[in-house]
Amino acid sequence: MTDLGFAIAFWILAVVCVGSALAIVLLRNVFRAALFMVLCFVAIAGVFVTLNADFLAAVQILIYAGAIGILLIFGIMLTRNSERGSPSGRLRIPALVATGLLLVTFVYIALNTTWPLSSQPPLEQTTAGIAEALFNRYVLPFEVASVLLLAAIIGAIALVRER
Amino acid sequence: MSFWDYVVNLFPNLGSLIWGWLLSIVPWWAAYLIMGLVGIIVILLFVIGVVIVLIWVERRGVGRFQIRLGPNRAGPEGIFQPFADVIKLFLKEDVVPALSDKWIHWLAPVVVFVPTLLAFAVIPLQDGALLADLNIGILYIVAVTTLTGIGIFMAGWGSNNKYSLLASMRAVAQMVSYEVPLVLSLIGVVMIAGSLSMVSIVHAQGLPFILFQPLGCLIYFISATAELNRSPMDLLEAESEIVAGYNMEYSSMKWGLFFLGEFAAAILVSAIIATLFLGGWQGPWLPPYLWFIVKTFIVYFVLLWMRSTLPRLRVDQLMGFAWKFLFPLSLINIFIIGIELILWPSLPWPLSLVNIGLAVGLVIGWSRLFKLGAGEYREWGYGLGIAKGMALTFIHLFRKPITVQYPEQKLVMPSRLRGYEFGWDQQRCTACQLCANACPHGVIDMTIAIDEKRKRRVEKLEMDLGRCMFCGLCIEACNRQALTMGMDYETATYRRGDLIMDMSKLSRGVSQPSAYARVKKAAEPGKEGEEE
Repeated sequence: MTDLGFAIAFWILAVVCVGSALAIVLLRNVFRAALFMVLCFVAIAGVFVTLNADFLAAVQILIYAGAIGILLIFGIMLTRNSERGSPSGRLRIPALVATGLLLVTFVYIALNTTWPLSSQPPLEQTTAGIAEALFNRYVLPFEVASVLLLAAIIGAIALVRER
Repeated sequence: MSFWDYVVNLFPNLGSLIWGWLLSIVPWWAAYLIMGLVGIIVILLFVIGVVIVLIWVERRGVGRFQIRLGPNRAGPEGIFQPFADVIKLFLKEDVVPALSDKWIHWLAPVVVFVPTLLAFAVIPLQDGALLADLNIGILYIVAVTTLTGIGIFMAGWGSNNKYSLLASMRAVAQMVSYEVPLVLSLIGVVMIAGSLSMVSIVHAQGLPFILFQPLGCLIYFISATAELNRSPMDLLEAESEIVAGYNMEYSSMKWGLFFLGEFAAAILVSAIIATLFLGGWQGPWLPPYLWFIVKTFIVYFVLLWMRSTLPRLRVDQLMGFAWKFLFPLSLINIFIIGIELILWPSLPWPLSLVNIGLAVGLVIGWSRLFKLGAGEYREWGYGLGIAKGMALTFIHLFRKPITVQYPEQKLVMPSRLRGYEFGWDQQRCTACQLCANACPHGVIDMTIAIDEKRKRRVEKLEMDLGRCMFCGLCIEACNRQALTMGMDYETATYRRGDLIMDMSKLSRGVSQPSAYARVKKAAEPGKEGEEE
């Protein structure tokens, strides 16, 4: 019964996810595309919930749907004539070739990877598990990532500062 | 189980009762589904019910803070006012701008309202009385409520109105900025409790966390006020600058949904503060859910109090306050509580005194870093002025309202009032027509007849009060004091024609002559008028 429930949830989320992802690419209206991107993020958070990764789901909504989605919409609003969509340029055909190659690569990798299945039961307290992993075993990469983000923030401030 | 025990554990008992009954008639998954739906409907009804009560509390309460009465006509003490408001909202026309993005315009109120509603799922009314005890409770609330910002953007963009767009950008910038101190101020509580779950946090509070986290509580309260876009941080609806905010192009129930979402968010914030800082449902004597409601209401009262006291901030001050005041203080707060937890993991109670002292010192000290407009410093920081203002409005709460209830009570008017009525004394009038000539609007229509003894007589006199501007020049022009002005100010009619005063109406005189007309009467002929 639970398996069926999870299957139903997965398929609904998958359809929403892929549908909204297609809408991002196909819609001419950039603002609507951005909203579909937020929907896509929320659907991915739903997938995390079905995988018992509740902390990740909350962070996905907080950072991707909340913060990044809003920043993106800010960017759209501050761009002139953005509601007309991207203008057609000379780079259309090279872009098509590049993205086509990328798609083929991704599909090839996805089909040729043996996805390992963990037999361990899911954690009850995911927050504590993530914290232990981040601050014990992977503390160096974590700190490196923090420094990288800090550098990015300082760089952004330096770029937009009035002289 | 005694009756009292049953009352104390009302919600868990009720839940298990319905659960057992459902299990006996349907399979467990259907029961699970039905319980979920029932929970959602209960939360929705709860929120709407509380909002209806709070609209009344808010309108009457803000009135009392400002020594007014507030709306008191619909029903006893105005308790039907919210219902009247809601019915009015439902009956209004739903106007959608012609060039708006219809889908986004339609969806925006929903996206604003639903996240707030979702967040209520993890608020515990009492132990075991909540929809879902998530391990990540408080993180879930923070995450879900950020989606409100997208709804505000959608409203601003979908309306196709530059003021809406401007207001929504401003609102979202404010929300994003205040999100940072808001989340950081909660970390202290999470560190003490050692859990993100709302229920565990309440269980961890032997003493309410406000004693150990006064600074965190203050920062959360202020940032949450900004998130709610309530006064004094209600810049997004600053009528003087951006007309009415992101919801300007909304009407009818769509606008009502924004309104509902705002109130629901205010309740949510009050409930979160009650749960995280005030000990949640814990308390002596009363049933736990009542304690929870009382605490929530106390926090809401403070929100209301602040709203009716403090003036609105300027937009750059608002951003500076978030980034230069709340953000560093919330980081310091995390450091302090971290050090304390390392040194004394059990947090003995004297630490609360230390923390309160530190909080007061930090707030006053940090605010001294800020300059006033002219570049001068406040000797005691900025807290004192706010405290004084808050004390003043609190005293207002107990004063007699100065509202004059108009039709029953009349305002006392100044004695020189140039009112809405005129009297004409036929005996005194010499038909000189000076008044008609003096009138700048041609209000006075006077025709005269001259009889065979060359005596002038008024044939027709009409004054069109619809055009009169009550300058009093006709009164001054009349040297026989035949025209008088009255004190009445409530002449309203259904037809314009009723405003034309003919000779018979004018001859009736005035109810109470204005001192403006009496001045001339008392004066000696030839001398200019003096006050009596």
